[in-house]
Amino acid sequence: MPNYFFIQSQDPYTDRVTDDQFLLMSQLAGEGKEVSLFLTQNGVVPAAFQAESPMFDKLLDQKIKIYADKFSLEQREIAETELKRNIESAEIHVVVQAMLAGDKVIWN
Amino acid sequence: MELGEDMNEKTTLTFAFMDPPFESERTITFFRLLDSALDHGANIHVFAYEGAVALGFNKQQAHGNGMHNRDTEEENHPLTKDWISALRNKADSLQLEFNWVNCGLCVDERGVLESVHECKRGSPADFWQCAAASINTLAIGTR
Repeated sequence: MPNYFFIQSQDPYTDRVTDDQFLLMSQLAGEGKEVSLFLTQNGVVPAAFQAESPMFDKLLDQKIKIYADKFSLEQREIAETELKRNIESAEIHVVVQAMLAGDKVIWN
Repeated sequence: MELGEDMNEKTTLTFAFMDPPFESERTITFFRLLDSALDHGANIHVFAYEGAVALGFNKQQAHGNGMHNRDTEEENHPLTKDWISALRNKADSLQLEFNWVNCGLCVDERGVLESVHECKRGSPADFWQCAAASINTLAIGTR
């Protein structure tokens, strides 16, 4: 059974499809699949403490490992201390490590 | 796997990319991924199609910015053709493969026939062969 590793570059404020992408992640995790999520580019925006995104927030309490790209956070002046719970800032290396581990890596 | 671990165990990753040089943040993220893959000791196959075939266009030119009173050197405009060459040099120094294939039809459509020497001409069949020879493949589509 593959682990699912999503790279999320889209944000829910400019791309309507994003909520459906979050729903898929939620459903996969709910079915017991191993799911990880790497937020990059504008994908880091809903990770900020003040950002409202009910579909994204639902992921925070599921068994999903969530990373936020340090580079994208810095570009948008989002400090690590401003991230919501259960989100870890990380370098882009985690994506390559997932690929090398054989995860099913999906770009959103 | 930690960075730098298992550097002698060569593995190959394939990337498919379709964005043109200067229009999207995806291009930056894509090149960051390639750089990281080399840092992890992975051989790299790239299949560039649609607008991405211009990433290696040899006639890209840096320019100044008169609005901000900066000449070409001060502006230091990044060129993706130089990034491709830099990644190839890095791969060579690490004794890793760096194989870049441009979709020939996409090249012809855009007239970007003169690429840096690191880029070869091919077809979607090359993508299939690269993916088949890799332990994993990431397709980054334009949204």
